[in-house]
Amino acid sequence: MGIPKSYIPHVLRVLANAGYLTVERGQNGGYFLAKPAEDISMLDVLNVMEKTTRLNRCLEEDEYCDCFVPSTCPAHYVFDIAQQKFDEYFSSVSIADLFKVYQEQEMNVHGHASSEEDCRHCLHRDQHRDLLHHE
Amino acid sequence: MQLTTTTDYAIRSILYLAASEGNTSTTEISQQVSIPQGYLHTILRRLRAADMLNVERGIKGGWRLIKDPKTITLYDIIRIMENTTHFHPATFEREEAHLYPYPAVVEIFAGMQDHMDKYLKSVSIADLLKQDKHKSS
Repeated sequence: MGIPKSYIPHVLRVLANAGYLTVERGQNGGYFLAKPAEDISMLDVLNVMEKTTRLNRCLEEDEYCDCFVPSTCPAHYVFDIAQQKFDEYFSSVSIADLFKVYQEQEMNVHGHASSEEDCRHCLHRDQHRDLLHHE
Repeated sequence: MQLTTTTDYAIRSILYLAASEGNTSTTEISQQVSIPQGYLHTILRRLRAADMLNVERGIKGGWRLIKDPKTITLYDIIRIMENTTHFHPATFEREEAHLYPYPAVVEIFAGMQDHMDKYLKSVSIADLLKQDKHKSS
């Protein structure tokens, strides 16, 4: 996955604390999604993992600004629209959507070849080789 | 993900200078748009290095905008002031997105990046000033 191993528990803990993952102990245990992948948006994940997803300080809940009153500030209005676009965009993409694309790509890489040799003319051969070696 | 205070201050300074005539002193800008004076110097120098402003010394000296407010976009100021405008590290090298374990994720962020850049490029300082006048009238 390209994530340093020591970093994974930290990331998973944050996601579990936010209610997106559950942990089961035991032989068949591990981390599971606590909600259907359709119900987790990219915005949800960003909100959990990033300190803030507000594009400017004045878009935080307290609307703090030491210069203008946000309701009369010309730049605030522009950032507010940008924020709405940002939120709409990322809330419209679910983890299930991303997974679907991933599965399709996997099919393209894996679907037509079963060995590294078979795939030597394939555009994705590096990726294919990594996948084969990973299994 | 959030703009730095420095960028916010740069936008304010440019808005103020765009609405001012002649040269404006650092003290005036500092007081009018609530920016600590020491900090303001650093910001104005960076904007001058990017050919947005000019400074003249002497009694009638001060800062002046040397670009037409119609041609300065919010995107321009953000690019000068922020280390990066990218939401996702992998969108820097989009042609290598296929090496990322989930290229679709890079595509999603790259899509937002395109929308956002386009939007910020569409808003000029002149647009913002016009809007300000509408609100105060």
